[in-house]
Amino acid sequence: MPICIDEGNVKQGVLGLVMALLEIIRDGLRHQAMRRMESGSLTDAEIERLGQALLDLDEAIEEIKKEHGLAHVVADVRASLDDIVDDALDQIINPQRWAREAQAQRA
Amino acid sequence: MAAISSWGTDADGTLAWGDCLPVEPVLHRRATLVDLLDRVLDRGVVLQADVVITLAGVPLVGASLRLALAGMETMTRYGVLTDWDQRIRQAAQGTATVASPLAAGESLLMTMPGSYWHSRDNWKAWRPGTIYLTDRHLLVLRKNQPEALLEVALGDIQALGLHHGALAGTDSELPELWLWPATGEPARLRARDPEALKQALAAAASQQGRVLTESHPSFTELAGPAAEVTDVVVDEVMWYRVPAGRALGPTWRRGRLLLTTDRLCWVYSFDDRVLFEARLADLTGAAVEVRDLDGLVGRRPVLVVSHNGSAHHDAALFCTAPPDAEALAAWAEAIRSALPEPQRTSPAVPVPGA
Repeated sequence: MPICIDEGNVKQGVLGLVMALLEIIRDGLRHQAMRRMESGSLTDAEIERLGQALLDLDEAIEEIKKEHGLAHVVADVRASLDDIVDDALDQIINPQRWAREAQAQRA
Repeated sequence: MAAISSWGTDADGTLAWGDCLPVEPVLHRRATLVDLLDRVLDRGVVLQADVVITLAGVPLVGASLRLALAGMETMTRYGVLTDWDQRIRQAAQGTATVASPLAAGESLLMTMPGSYWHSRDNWKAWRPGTIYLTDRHLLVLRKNQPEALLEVALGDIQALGLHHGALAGTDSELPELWLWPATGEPARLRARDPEALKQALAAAASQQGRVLTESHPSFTELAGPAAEVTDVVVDEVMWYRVPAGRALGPTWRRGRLLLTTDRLCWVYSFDDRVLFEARLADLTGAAVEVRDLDGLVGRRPVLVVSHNGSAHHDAALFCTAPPDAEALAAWAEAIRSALPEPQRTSPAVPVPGA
């Protein structure tokens, strides 16, 4: 499943890919930040600073997306990346699929 | 079986609270990349690998890898990197005391990202930060390693102007806000919206009953390269073929050619260094020739300035982008007419191959 980048608009495509990766990293960082905050090992000041930094990051990303009209490109790239992951995981962990594929091979 | 579930990525419909719908549990098995990342980091990954790269049966390169990748929460739970975690957080505690940049009773008028031209201590660079305009001060602050790059009381600002500064290494220009405080050096700022910042500054000054002038003698000094170049007669953007250095062959670079009352010099835009300099008395001629500049540039008119002690092939070469023979001819004329009397009559430039 290829990631489709519009050939007619390389800048949008490349920027979209970069922004999509940035968003994924951002989401990963946010999840880890949540875990640290919930674990109780951070001080109030640290939680405050971390929250503010994440908000700033969100704001910056949204602004860049708006400025370059990237919202749908980024969404597309993320959806196709998710499809790839979904497909790969399905192949690895879904016994029903193994059965289907084994049958297809036998036939 | 590890079912990877995810909270619906909220694109699949909007349900308002209060809508009475029967809630059916659904196994949502679509995995996303972020889910995968979260899982991996939550759980942690340990990789051990020994690699030997062999050529013709002879081991040449060895690598013994041990990699542990996990979220810091997981890391510290297993007692890995805990001391580092502590140290980083303590260090941040020390520096992170950026209290609000405002003094008591001061109110913030405008804030935007920007940068400040630092030109003290032999070190010149644009330093990024955040510009704060309050009803009393103009500040440029860095957040990490907190530092005030610029702090000027509004009452001190005497002059304020928008200028265009070259973007290093390119032909394009960026608007810059130049201001001159009553005390201290003139300052150059780049901001996301310099026009709005300028208007806000002017408005703040007029509230204090003052009118800021648009220009100031110190601005021309700011625009000019080094203070040592004085009595400038002509000053234009010009490309110069910088002679071969130790590692590089000759390269064309963009800068400014200045004709003063006693010298001809070329200043590199990137760092304001004077890379070509000759006294008018040492110049032997100036002419426009069409030359084949190698590479992508091709044939185009160049201004050839020969000076004493230089054979023809290492005469200084200048050109414009885009090619403009008339402008170059005007330059050649200006240089020739600036030469002292006896040199003016000598042939401008020896004919190549003669």
